[in-house]
Amino acid sequence: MNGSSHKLPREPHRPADDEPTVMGMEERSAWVQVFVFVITTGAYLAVVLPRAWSQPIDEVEWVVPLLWALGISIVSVIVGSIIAGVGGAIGLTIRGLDVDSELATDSRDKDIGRHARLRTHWVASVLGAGTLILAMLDVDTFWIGTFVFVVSSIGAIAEAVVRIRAYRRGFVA
Amino acid sequence: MSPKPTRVTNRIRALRTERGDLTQADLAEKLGVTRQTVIAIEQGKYSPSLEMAFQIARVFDVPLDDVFHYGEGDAN
Repeated sequence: MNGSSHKLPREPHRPADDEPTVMGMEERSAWVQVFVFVITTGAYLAVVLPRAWSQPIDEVEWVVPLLWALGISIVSVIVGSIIAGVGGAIGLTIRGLDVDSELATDSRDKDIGRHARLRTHWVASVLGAGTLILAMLDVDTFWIGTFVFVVSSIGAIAEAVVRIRAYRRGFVA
Repeated sequence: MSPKPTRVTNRIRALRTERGDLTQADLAEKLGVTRQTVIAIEQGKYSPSLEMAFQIARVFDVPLDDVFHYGEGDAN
């Protein structure tokens, strides 16, 4: 034995005032939501739009790609949030901060969630009105399905962006 | 530095300093919130609910308007 030892994670210490902490769980989930929906929506459009330009619209296969995009989005947000949470817990442990208290959610998270839903309420109106108009115009179901998916994704991205902004810059409830 | 989103200001940090022994983590524990929330309140990035505002005043054993102030100007 030469006296050198592996550095074990420190026991949690009482954080000093303004000691930097890691991003909370809800903010991490918001970041994951933005990345996942940008990628899956972009991938869906990259698959179906070339088909829509190159073949008759009623022959475009869009249902399976949409279901894949939707499924991957849901699973990725859940798995990504868990991985992001584990990353935060490891960072806190290394810095000797208490994981449970630093990553907990509280009334501020709920207020920010409510604030974000209120600020992105317009997406539901656009979704409802747009779908109704497309149905009235009797367009192909490809356009209706794609419109609903894309606008819903925009809503999820917008809601997450408002949450991130509220965490970083503050907000008025 | 970006402007504060609220006109509500507070003296929580000053009151903690006067008390001497109360850290942000201690106050968070007493209020049942995270340290990040206490930091956000102190920095004027988050206005707590009325109930939490009263709880904060009670921790310092002072009236509510010794802790929180509303900026000068229109109250509309």
